[in-house]
Amino acid sequence: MVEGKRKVILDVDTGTDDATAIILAALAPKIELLGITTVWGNLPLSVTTEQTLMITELMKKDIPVYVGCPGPIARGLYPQAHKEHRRVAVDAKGKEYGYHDLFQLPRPSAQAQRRHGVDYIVETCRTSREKITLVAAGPLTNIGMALRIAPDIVKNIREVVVMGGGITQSNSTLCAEGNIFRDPEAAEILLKSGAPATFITLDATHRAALPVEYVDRCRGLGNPVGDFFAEILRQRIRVYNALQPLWRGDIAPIHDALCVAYLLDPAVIPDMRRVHLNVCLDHGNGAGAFLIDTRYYHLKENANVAYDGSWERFGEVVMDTLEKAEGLFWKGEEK
Amino acid sequence: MTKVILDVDTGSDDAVAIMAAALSPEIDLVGICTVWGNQAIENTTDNTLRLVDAMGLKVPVYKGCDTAMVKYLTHDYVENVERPAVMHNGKAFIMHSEHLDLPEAVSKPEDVPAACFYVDYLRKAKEKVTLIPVGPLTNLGLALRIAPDIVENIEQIVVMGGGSKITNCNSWSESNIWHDPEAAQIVANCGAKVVWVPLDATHQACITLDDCKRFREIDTFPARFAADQCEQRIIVHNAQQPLDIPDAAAVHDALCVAYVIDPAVITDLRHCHVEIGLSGYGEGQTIVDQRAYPLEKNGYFAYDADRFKFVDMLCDCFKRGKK
Amino acid sequence: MARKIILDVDTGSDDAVAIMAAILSPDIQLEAVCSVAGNKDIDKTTENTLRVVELLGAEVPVYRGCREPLVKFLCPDRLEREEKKKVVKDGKVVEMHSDYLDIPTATIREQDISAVEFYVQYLRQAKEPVTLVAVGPLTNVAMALMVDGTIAEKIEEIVVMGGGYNITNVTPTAEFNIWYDPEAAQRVISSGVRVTMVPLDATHAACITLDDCKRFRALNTVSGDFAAELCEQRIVMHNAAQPLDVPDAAAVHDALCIAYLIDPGVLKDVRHVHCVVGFRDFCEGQTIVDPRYYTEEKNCYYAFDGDRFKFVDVLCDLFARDKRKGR
Repeated sequence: MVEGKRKVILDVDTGTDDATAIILAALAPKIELLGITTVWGNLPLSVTTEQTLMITELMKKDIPVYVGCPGPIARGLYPQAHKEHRRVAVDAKGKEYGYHDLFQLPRPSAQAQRRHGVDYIVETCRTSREKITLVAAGPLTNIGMALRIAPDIVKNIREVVVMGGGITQSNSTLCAEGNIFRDPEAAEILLKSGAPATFITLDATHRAALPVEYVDRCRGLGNPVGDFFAEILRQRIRVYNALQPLWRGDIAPIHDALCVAYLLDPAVIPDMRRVHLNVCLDHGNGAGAFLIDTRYYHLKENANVAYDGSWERFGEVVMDTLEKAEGLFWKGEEK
Repeated sequence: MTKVILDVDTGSDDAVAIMAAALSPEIDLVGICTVWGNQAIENTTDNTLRLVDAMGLKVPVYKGCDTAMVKYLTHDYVENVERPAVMHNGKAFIMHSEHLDLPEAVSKPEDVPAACFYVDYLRKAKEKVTLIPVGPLTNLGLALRIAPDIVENIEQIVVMGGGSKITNCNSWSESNIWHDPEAAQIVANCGAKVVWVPLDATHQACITLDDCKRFREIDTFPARFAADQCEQRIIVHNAQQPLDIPDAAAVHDALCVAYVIDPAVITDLRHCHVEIGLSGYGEGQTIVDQRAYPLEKNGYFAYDADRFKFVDMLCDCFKRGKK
Repeated sequence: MARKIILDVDTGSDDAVAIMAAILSPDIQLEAVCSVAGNKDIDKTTENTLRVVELLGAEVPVYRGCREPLVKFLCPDRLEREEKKKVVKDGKVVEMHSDYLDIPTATIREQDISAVEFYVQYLRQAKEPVTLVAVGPLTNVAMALMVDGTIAEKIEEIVVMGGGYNITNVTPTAEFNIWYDPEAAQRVISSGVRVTMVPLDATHAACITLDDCKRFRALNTVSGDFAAELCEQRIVMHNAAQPLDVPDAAAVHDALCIAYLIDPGVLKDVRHVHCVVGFRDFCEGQTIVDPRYYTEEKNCYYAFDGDRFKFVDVLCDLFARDKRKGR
């Protein structure tokens, strides 16, 4: 185990839970956040890029942001693709609200870097003295592209931690999770590349969903970042109660933050298994599904997959990290 | 002069295309990207560098992808039957040698991968660039997905690929498109002007043994080397894909370069709707919508070419080479 | 000796002409007509078939066939048809095939057993070879071959209306019958039985013109008049959406398959070729013919051209035999 700061590139489709991942990664002393690459996904690329810049500006951290891919590697080329189920919640006044409404933040004055996100990933992995950890919080398009263009970079990749997939849980369609469903080919490219891959699945994130008590606990930290985190959690709980009630009421997963938390304390995933994993590349009912070889004589393992998550450990990691926010002076607005 | 980026899987006919592009006064060759295809990426890159050195060219070479964008992620494709080598005078001939018969390369490829080069160069370009991909379209397909905005700086894409009523690697497709159908589909619909130079045109613009004699009479290095490549191709064509004219071979890739030098070499170019078959039977097929009310036209498909003009143009280029 | 045939239809305007031609021809012994889903749903195609049989007063049993393609509709990722252009003439919407043919409702009924069961039973006990003429999607025929492969020995030839090499209609790559059930078509072509494909390349060449319709009407028979009416409807559609090389003309695909049995010269440029059917995305339903010098193993006969003059002569000859006077 390599001790000391871990060099990380975060790939995001900001996104409320991506925002929380950026915050944790920027604050954690064990992580050296080299740069952030944006990708399409929850929202179009231009929006995910702008929202990412909003967060880095909020954090008053000089983290370079690189713009990545606007669409998937190959989905959408086919004349009839299986459609994602997008549900929207509507409040009493008839106003729509969703998972990723990033409420009013000042428009960023900072700009994204000129270099393309994929180019940045390739160059950084090739030239870094230490191995790089990639954390993928959106569709795997940027990472899949980088591996396809420059397969040699696997030699210098320590781990790719992916928010993606589900064993017994799904959200986009009856059998697939959103990030993997949006670009299954990119996921399969990663699985075949030889890079060490760890999948933080919905099975983990749904178990590690934080209960509403954490809203007050985050506010209680008395710093603007804690307030912001509290707002995100509160909003997500509201949406989950309406659209995806989980194993308990008034809880919400913060998928991408769990991926970063895993780097800080692997015990947030109490059941991680090494398996042989493929992604279904169909265009029909199975599109984007996780295919895990559960046979006794199984195919060679190629990934770590999270079967469970611990909300208590996750909550501790979040509180510990948020306490470290200093000198930030953004005021949250009450809803 | 037109700024051109070539994308090659050198390759016998790629070699002729590279030489023609380098020697033509109409073309400013700003970069050569290599791709897998006729041979593995290591070989196609090495062959390209060997030729660049042999010609004394100062053109940067960018190493590209070693496999298709997504095709080989599953086993869900129709296997191709490999054609055996052709025996002729006791020697074995295939369409593309593993290594071109040239001295080993001294130059190296640039650090930047081909797909990244496309994005970087085209975003910064001050004038529009013509792209001539004559191998599988993987590099360009990736670049267009990564940064669709690059089409603004593309003058046209002249693709060697496809076939309407002529095919080669199986009963419905031509090799380049069959190798990476998704990449081809991306190019077909990217919004830039796409000119397809398929087997329908390249088989018409064939090179005969007599044409090879003409090349040898010119007696420059590129002329002699081109004659070598063409004679090798003629042997293989005669055995496996006889053309309408005896002792002749298609030299597909060079026709694309010739079109950029003088479009009149393509004598039947039609504006049409082109789509690429993506799976199962029909994978890699260039589908041209021939109905009375076709889908929206998105490309130009070449159905015929002038072989006499083609040979004249090549001779003009080769005359300018070194001894 | 009259040739024994079983006709498989999705009636259908051109199917109707084919049924009448088969009934009227002394060279053909029509053993049965099987309906299939295609141009319209199975209820309509069965009813329309019964109407035509009854119109001609023929004693031919009708069997109801499959209501869906073999597997195509099981998957959400199969290509949806493009929006059809709506064609309006004299204030009325004109279609290539009306929901119901404009002839009296049928009082006769179809047989009790299904078309697939009929094929298997009939062919198992057949003493002489039978020709199948399939002018709708190939679902019934493919199913029968899967239920009992030995029936192939009793089939002399399968004449298929379907496919297109240089000409397509429903998508850039496909003709309707093959597109509707591609897997069934692939089964039939690879069954080992002698298959003659009558694709759009032949049927568009062997087209019927407005002048030809006048010739049909001049015969003053029930079938001649009805055929003229159907052809004129098709000519309106073709002019609007699929103009042929000859102006004011229409392909009457299915009838060409019957005419071929009477005068093979109506099909021109028939070649022995290798053909496979595309199943997926853009190539779904395409008849892919190997054009290379060294082709894959040849597996069917494909007509690349047709003779419209011979075709019309055959039809006029048949309608003239109709004893009932015109409408």
